[in-house]
Amino acid sequence: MAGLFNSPLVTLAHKSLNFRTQRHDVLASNIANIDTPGYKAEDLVFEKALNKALHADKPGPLQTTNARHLDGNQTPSLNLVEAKRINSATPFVKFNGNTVDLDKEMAKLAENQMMYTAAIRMLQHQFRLMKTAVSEGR
Amino acid sequence: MSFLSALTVSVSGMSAQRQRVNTISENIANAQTTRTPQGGPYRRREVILAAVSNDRTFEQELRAQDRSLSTATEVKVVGIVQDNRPPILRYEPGHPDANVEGYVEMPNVKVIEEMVNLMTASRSYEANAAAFNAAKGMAQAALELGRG
Repeated sequence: MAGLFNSPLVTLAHKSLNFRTQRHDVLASNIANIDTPGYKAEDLVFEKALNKALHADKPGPLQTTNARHLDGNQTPSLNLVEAKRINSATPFVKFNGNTVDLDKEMAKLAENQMMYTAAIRMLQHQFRLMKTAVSEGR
Repeated sequence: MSFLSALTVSVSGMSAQRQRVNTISENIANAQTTRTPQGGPYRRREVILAAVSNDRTFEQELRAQDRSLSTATEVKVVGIVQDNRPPILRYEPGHPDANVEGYVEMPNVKVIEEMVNLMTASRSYEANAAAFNAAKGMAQAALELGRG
């Protein structure tokens, strides 16, 4: 037990909220620049990396017979996960070189907001559990 | 702060689109104007938009470098330019601004073109407003965290 607030779930929610906030920035930038000539739409990807890090406590592929052996597990721990900024793929480019697709951006925005709310709910739930524990179930 | 920067980005988009709507309205209002202070008919105007990264303080720049994540990109109106297409000639010999052959130089404004631009500008404005509200909703959800 690494402490009350250090459970992987809380760290996951914390990381997720941070990334979602940054992703919202990126998506809002895309929408703001929908009519800017030559602007390239961007996106932030982190879900796979987070998912991988969440299961990083599983042992790696190598057998270990000593505590000092390395098991070949290369995934970084949860709080070291970085988000990657990529150019979002668009099948068509507008005549002014702009690659923002409004429908896609709005969909991503809505998805991002919902996932953010989901992470908040998860944290709220976690905190409620802790509260129950510290108040001895009363 | 990230949340505030999301809000400023959306606001920059809204203000740029409003500027576009203003310019389009100006074009439509002056679609028949044959006299201007510069002489000649009114000429169509257009807004030029450009993407700019937020002004960053030293600390923000350092942090951005550290995380290899640049912050949000705002949009900015960098200028309003005149459309240099030639004026449209209309045969109207009774008009006081008609030339010797009876043709009047009318503004190079095409109302249909302006209406299309007006529609895209107002849709883009709405999209930015939606992004603003999303950011607001997220911030409010985060503020609710500490409560019961």
